[in-house]
Amino acid sequence: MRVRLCFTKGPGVRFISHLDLMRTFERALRRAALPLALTQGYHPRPKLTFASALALGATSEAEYLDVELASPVQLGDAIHRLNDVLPDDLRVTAAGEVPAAARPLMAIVDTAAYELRPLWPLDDGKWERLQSALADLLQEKTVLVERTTKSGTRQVNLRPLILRAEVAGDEINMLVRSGSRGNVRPDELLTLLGEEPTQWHIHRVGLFIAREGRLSSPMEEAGVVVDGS
Amino acid sequence: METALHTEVLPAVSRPARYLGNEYNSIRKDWAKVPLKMALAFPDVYDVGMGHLGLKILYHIVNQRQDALAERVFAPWTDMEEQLIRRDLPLFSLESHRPLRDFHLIGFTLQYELSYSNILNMLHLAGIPPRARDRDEGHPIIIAGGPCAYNPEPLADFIDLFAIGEGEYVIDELIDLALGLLHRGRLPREEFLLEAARKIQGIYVPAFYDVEYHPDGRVASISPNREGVPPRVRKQVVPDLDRAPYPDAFVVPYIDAIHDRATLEVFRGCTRGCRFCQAGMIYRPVREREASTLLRQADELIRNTGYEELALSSLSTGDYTCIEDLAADLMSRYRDQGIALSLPSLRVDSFKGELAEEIRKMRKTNLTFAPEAGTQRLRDVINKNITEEDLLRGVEEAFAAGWDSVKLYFMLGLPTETEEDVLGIIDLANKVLDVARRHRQGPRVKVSVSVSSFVPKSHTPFQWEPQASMEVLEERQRLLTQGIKGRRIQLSWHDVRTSFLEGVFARGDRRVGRALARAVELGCRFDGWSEHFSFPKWTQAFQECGLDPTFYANRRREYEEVLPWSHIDAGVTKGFLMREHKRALEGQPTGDCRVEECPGCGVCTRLGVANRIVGD
Repeated sequence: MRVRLCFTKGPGVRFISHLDLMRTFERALRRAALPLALTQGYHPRPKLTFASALALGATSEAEYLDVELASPVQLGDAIHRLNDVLPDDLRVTAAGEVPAAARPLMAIVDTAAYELRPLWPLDDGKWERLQSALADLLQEKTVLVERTTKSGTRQVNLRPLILRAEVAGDEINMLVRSGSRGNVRPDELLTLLGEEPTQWHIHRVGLFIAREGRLSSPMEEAGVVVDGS
Repeated sequence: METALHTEVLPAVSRPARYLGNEYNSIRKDWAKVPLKMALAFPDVYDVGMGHLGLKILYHIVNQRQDALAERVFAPWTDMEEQLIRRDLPLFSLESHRPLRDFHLIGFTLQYELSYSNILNMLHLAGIPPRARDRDEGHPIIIAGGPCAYNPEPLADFIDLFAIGEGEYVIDELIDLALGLLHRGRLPREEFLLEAARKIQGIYVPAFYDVEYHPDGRVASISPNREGVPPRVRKQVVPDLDRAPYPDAFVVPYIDAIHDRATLEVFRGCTRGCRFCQAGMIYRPVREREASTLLRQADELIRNTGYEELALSSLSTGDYTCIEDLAADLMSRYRDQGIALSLPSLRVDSFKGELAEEIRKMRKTNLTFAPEAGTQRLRDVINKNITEEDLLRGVEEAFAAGWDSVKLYFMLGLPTETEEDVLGIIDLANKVLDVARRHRQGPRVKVSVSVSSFVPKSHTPFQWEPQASMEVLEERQRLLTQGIKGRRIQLSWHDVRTSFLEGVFARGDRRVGRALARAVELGCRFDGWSEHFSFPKWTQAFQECGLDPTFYANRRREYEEVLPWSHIDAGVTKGFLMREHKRALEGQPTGDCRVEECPGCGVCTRLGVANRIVGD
């Protein structure tokens, strides 16, 4: 049985890395005594796949992971058992069964929505300046940023990957491509706007699959979805 | 504090999850409702300290109480230290993020001499005067315990109170005493220290002892300067581990810490009697846990932590009486859940038969054998009763079972060591490689040879021996590098300068503390980390304090000399250590008292605690 979980990552755990998060879930699943399916070989591991890594320091209200179980479980019960043994600021909010043949989460999730809020109130006029800087940025055809990976430094054009970005009240909302076929990191956008990213709180509002002109939630693939709240 | 931490400090440091304090199973109590507050301090970075079993045990014991709380603190990594200094923030505890100086008691564990500079640095960062004499009623009582407390003198100026021996019961006694004296939230310092020194076994308050010196620098006498304080402080031992408190849950770190796993302590103590080994002397007698207790503890720990690995820990796990049955039981219980069993500290001679069979089913992780010395003669000197045949048979089993590589652990600079003994290491490594090649092919076949430098420790038969000089050690390291041919044998060794410094503190007296304080002023900390270790600063510190470090490390002591730790009673008698020292020089091995005759170390009779072997 393949179960898709939707979970939140709150402020108390925003400084744990993606790798740490994966380990934390593996151990929580074991504490919850769910019937985990294991990989073969000398290092049997639970079969977990996450949708997308969240930047260190960011919070989220909708992250996703798929876990393979060796035998069927009652979804509502699984949510409760997990939430009983997860660290305080990780909460499973929904669970659903997905077909065994469903494509891996990281291959289908391609869009992310973020809210960016400054840690401190901005000076007078700052929001207006940000608004016009953002408008200027969106006018451009190419917005180049440098990315350093193990294989070297390369330039990436972010512009086509930014679907929407706007100042709304005292926050910036953005909808961007996310995943293996193109990715915009919120801190890159803040840097382009002349802001220090560590002085902003980055909150991921959702991860989506863009399909036929609309955004669908990864939970839509699951047959029955049980709400954990 | 909290706002600054989350908005400014944590985003600016590496691995910020080290400092969150809200890990699963961490315990956060209501500060206002708990009268006594204790911080448990580990003088190294979180990643290292979280693996320490003693810390988990004490955290559990204190937090089980309604009237006390324990919170953790580790040495902040250098980037965090920089943030604390720049923002003028005090060093804080993990759970409640409170300044350390708000606690009544701060207990440091002393696992390693090269972490001493971190203790002083942590006190400094906490805004607590590092020297005990500069502290007053408003400051926490600074406590220390652990194996290095058996020679407490280098830290005598900085620590208010040492707990000698095992901590399970003494921590409750100290907290009870503190609670009785607590007045309007304040702990009267002098009264607490005096009562503890007078009434609690194993408590050593250095301020209550005067040390006098001969003109040549040797200690002349150590004597109490208060009435009712014991002239010799005898260690505490836990008589029965099955009744001793043990955590049913460990704090589960977010980050990848060392020994991040469920650990069972199968027994404490070791009576093999290796003459270089301080742990083998100070943790006597041997006390095994019943298999039923261990199975229950394994169950609780796995259920409450979700760990994927269960380790059987002790000084020599293969010596546990029912090791085969226990390992088989645990493996059959947890294999289906994907939980691996690991057995660190296995002796070569226990790697055989059923146990090897069990290990065969385990993960092919590192397999380390410790012959310690290259020739039989030298192994007889150090009483490491392992023959070349034992070793070759052990590695044969390993390679036949599918391992591609083994690690061999040796020491350089052991008493009476000659060039021949050093060349014996090469010879042995080559023989092991030959065995490997008979069983395994391919590029991964490898023998790792790890060579450390011997550091004579207090309370061992070699406590009178000089440590080999840095020049001699380097010469012998060269001999090894030149003698090892081919890429299949990989040699690694320790920096002789860190071993030298370790040797100075291992047998130093009170005056060494002056150099320690000076070195910390000069910026020394994290001395166990090669990227932070600065030998020139240490040399400068000793020079400025008018101390010759070779006096402590490289000098032979007479039996009659008053050793700086002679007022600390580890249970074994001086007579036994002298006999063992003489037998060492004669190359006479001594048997294990569990199976052979009693060599008369004195522990059982003097402490009234006997070896406790399950099934007996």
